[in-house]
Amino acid sequence: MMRDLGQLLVNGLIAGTEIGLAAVGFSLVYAVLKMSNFAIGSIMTVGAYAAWMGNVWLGLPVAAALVCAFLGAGLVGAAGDRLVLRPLRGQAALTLAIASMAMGLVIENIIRFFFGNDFMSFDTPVLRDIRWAGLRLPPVQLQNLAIALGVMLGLWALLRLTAIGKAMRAVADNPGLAEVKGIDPARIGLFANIVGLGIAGVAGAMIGINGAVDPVLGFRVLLPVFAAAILGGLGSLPGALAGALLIGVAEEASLLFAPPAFRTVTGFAIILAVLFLMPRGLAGLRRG
Amino acid sequence: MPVSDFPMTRRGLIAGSAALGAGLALGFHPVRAQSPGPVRLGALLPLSGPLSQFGPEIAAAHRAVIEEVNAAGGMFGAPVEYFAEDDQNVPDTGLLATRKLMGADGVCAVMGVLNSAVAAAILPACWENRVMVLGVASSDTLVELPHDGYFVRTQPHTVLQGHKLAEIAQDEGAQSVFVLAPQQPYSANLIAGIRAQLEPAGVPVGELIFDAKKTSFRSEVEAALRDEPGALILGGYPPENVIIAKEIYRAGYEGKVIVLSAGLTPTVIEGAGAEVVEGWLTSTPVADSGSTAYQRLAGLLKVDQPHLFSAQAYDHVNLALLAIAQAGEATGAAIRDNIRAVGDESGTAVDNALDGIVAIAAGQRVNYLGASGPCKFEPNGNIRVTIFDTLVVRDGKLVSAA
Repeated sequence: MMRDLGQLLVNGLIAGTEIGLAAVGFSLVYAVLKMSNFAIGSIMTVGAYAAWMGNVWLGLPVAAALVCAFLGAGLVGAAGDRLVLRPLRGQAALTLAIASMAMGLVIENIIRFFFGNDFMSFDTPVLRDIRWAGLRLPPVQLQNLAIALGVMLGLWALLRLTAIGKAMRAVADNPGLAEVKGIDPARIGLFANIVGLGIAGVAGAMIGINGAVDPVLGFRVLLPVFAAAILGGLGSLPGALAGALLIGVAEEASLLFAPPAFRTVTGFAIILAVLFLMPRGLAGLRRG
Repeated sequence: MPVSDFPMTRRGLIAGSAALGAGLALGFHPVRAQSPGPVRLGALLPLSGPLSQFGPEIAAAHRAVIEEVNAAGGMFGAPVEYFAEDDQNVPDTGLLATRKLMGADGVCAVMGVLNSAVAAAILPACWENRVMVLGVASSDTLVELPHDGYFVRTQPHTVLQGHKLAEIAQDEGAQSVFVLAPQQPYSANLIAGIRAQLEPAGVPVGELIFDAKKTSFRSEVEAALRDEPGALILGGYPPENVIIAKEIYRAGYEGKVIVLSAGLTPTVIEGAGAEVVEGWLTSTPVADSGSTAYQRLAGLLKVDQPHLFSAQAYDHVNLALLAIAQAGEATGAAIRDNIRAVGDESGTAVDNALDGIVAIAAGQRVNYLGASGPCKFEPNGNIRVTIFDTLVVRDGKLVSAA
């Protein structure tokens, strides 16, 4: 039982980091632009395909393929924002949310048009699990964990140590004051899109490396990603990560008392309970 | 006959319309008109969209048999007529096409029907209009519909496929079996078929139904392998099987992996990696390639190995024509009531409609033995016996295990 619990905890944390990375990207875009970009699911898929093309067509190693994922997703996401969402900025939040959903569907279908509906796999070896202290640890997922931590660290450094990072935080905190101080909100918005959606693309690629790539890869995790961002308190990056880890662990822990087919339902029931107690999400803990 | 041969007056038009309206209100429908001939057969096929690679050869099989019969003089003194429509693999389109086949073309049978969702959409319209459906669609729930005998199918249903997968596990000497199946309507029947085969033999069967929309199945595979079953049976489709295959390999599982035929394809082998799925087994329904009917069909189509669906199409059209000949009338009810009679095991064996029609005319009982199998049906419309081939993955290729 304890061993099962340990294994479920490991599985939950690993699943949580993949979702967490995308949730952090979602929250970053929200913090700067004050809008929920629901196209993030399709942007994750774009990242997965970009990495797949880098790995299979160009023969790049995983690390370089992930750079392709970041660039591909970041650029497609930023272009989509420029073409579809920016002209609608200032409209009601619901209008923007629905426009972003529509944009996501268009992107998904463009992917289908070029790559078909079939799934595709990365050209990476499938390795046996490492056994340690009675736990099974999958090398590829440990690698994903390390990549996720690396990306988070890079993002932290970007926001804390660089001028553009500080400008992004300034816009997130008080856009009016930031503009008075001479920060160009359009430039910062573009940068936030590239970084936030690029990170989501890396998360998509990680899911693809672990399993397979298909046109609905990102759509399948859209709800957990959004839920993690909400649970963490929209706009809070550490909150989004904590929310994702909580969802990952809650879904896995639910297997102790419910069949796997109910995994999503049980996980979300736990989230609902948390939100009832803390309506502002986990970030509310720190503020309140 | 040109339209101008009917003098049409306004009064006549009104009277005619009123009569037609009254007739429809009383339940008389043009397609129910019973005439001895000509025999009109319809086909609903995927000629575009998914599965469309099978449609043209199926239509060719239907046509080849009908042309043979027509070359010998047709039935009831007139040529047999054939109407094929495209269902695009879409239920709504299939239903519209079926209405056209029944209403405008006046067919007494609809053959083909590959997709189960299309079959579910058209069946009520067909049984209400007493039109016989001879289909391929394999979803178990179809035979549970109140079709009143107006539906038979030649493709094995899921319970039968479950039996077959369980037999492989037994042949491989598995002392315990675990079934990992997606949350799909057919999964309960698949597991029921496996249990029915294994549990009386004392082989314990564990099961787990999972949500196939997930991107990872790590916990599911862990639960399945916890008690180290002798064989693991996978009931899912290729997308989830690629991910599950990798998880099974990572876990270092040493037992046998047996997969529902639709879930072990070349794309799965390529996606998961040949080494990962080496030795995986599946059981797939195949045509009776040793039968004389199958050889005849190959000759008619001028291909070496007609597909299983084409073999089933050949059987559909032969069975429909033989049942009509047996009944002496071309109606859906006549086919329904005689389709089992033309498979009389004490009768003269025939492998085509032409010989069968001659034998029936001579007062003989006939036993149709088809290209897809012996073509004997359960009372609910299910096929009784199907031929399966066990396939195994060897060096990245699916080959016969025999």
